[in-house]
Amino acid sequence: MMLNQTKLNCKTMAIARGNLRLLMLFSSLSCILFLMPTGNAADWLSWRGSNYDGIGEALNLPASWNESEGILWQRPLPSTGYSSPIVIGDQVVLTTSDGLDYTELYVVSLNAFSGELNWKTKFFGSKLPFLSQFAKELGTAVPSCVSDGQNIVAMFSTGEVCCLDLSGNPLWFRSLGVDYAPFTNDYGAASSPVIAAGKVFVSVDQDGGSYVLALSLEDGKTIWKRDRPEIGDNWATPFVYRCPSTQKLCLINSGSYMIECLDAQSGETLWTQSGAARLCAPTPFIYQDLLISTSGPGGQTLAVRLGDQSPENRLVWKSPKGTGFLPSGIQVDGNYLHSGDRGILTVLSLKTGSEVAQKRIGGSYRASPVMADGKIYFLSLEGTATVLESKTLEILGVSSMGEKVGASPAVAHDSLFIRGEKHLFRIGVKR
Amino acid sequence: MLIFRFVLSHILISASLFAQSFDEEREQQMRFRELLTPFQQALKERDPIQLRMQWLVVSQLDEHVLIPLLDLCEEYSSPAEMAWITTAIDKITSRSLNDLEFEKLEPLLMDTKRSGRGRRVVLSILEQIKPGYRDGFLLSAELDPEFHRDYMSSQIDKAVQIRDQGNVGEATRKLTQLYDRAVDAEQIISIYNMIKEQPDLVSLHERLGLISEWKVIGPFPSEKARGPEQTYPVEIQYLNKQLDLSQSYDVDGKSIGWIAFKIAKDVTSLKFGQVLAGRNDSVYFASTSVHSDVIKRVELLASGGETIQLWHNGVLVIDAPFYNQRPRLDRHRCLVELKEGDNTFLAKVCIGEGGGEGGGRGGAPAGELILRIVDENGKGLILKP
Repeated sequence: MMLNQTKLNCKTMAIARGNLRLLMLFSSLSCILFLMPTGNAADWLSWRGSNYDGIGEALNLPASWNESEGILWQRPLPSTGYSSPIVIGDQVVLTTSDGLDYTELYVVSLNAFSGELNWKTKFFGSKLPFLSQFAKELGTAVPSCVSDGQNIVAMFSTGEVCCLDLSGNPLWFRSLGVDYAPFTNDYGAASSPVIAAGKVFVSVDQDGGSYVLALSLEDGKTIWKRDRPEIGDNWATPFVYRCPSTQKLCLINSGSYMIECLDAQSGETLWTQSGAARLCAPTPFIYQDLLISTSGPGGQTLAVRLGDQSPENRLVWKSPKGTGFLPSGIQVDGNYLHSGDRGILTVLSLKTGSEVAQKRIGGSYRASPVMADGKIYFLSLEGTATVLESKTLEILGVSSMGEKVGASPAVAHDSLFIRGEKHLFRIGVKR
Repeated sequence: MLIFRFVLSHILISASLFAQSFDEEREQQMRFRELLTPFQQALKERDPIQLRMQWLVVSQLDEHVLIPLLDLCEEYSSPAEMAWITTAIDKITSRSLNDLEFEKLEPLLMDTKRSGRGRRVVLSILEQIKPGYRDGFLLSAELDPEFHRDYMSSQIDKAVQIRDQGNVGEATRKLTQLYDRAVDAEQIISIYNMIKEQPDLVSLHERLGLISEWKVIGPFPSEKARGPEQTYPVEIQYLNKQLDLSQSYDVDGKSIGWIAFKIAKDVTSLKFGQVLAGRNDSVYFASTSVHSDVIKRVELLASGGETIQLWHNGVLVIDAPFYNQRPRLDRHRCLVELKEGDNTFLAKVCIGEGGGEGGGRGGAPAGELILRIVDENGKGLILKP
């Protein structure tokens, strides 16, 4: 009787645990959705999309294209930059920079359907100190814009942050290099701002004097600043989520050997998890109740359980397989796909971290892949677009953009918006 | 007499008309300045809500408000504050390009007393009015303190074009001249890399004022990154003027001594790892001395990876003990006075601990040191040991 009761209790407990997991999963998803900007479902409001996962809604996307088919339009960009485009309604918005020191800063809006220029807002930024690793050809328009559907926030490697309305009129400006100290990220600051719950979160990871800021979306004033002297230069965009167990709004920063979770209301540290590499560029994402974070070089992918966990229970798995420096990964059907920097696609199980598959797709990568319409799009630095079927990973098509591609694409209006070194392209099927 | 009166009356009429139009213009400028008062007030108060409202008003005004707005640029230096003004200027300019008066705007660019940033805004407008204007302006801007670098950059580009067209000899001659005249470290290095094979070229180190001869020692244990705070025997002896560069020190049972190091001619930094053992959580020292014929005010430009502390003649002049720094030219600056005779320098550089299981120190700055000495105009000084 006792044994049966025990068995029953165990079964009940197992069901309860399963229900709790489901509840946490539901909470996680709804918390992410709660935080999501209030744009249209077809929008692409950050460099990784409106859900920060690189997955878009689109139909009938082509698997390949060339000059006579598939390129709906291409427009020359006024100056240089590597920021990813975002899409808000019928506007595609990105940043560029120009001038001797790339201190002429532009936020540019093009019509998503015609490619014609809507507006261009220009202002001048701070001159950076001499940065020996800074690649001039990137310019200072490297962080990507973000929007909540009503406001556009743009940041530049010079330290300037601005908020514009949808007509390009200014709402506020900040010069973080003047308000605090000149930006000294030796390769150039590249972390993009994030909007959540009426705040703009900016991560300034650099070699000396790193910090995280929460700015008011309404007027740009600093709500809190958290100094992080132990952190060196990184380029990961922070990730915001609502903790399912505590309901706290949380901000994740990765790099300098750890993942750090901050209370997004106050900037206080909630927990840290060691195991990240020193340098970090990829942005993490959430899978069920796990935070998946990749860092490199020489780093690993970590799966960290969210919620109020003890340090011993937080790390669920880790894997050194396939990590690279720059591109973020993407989740497909319970697996994590990561191209790394050198075009070797590694697939890990998100449940266990074990390697499921590996495939060589060639090329070197700065851009992160996106998925839509059952296809995954990889854009190499050499300008080659390799398209894979999302379930079988069969290569469906290979196309040449004709120029370098360093920015991650956007998916909107049943199209891909790809930013090359000189042009912005809209890829889709003509109707 | 009649003719004289006729001419005089015309002169008087013209003068009065000119004075009247000058007065009208001045009155108009004052009227527009008054229109800008609420905008100015919002800028002073740094109130974004007020600013955006005033911005909408100002950006709809006509081109007559341009010069008062450009004058407003003189009062603000922060890019964030300037951005309100320049975006309004941009709106007005793009709407009224054909109505802008080039002759009234150009003097604002030529006035070197105006702020560099303001002058650049004017140049940007003039370029829109007359495409190609900028290139012509820069041809005569070598001595312009704001535009010297732009001048040099355009000349370097021209020399590269000449070289790419096949005229290597002329390009090299031009670049060699630019190499002697450049002040900006980045431009000096860029030109040097293009002509470094030229015989009789002044060395990069001399052009930059880079200190290239050192004695180095290490690694000493930093003991969990406490190196910058701890005082080592080397420092004590230096401060007591008892530093003996032939002395050895016992570190964990091994004897380490000073080693001579000369930075290679194409390189700008001292890398400790080239002659000393590299180890995480360590402290390295570098010692040198330069001779000055006279008392001279100079600027020291130094950098270290990951931390740096620099003493000059026993005084700590650069104190940057925080980790994660990457060494790069001119990161830390200070003005000092060289004494007549020998001037000693001691640099202390610390390397961090590394990251444990996440990966060694992949991508971490190595133990490096850069020190250059320049005069008040930024020109590298050639100072011998």
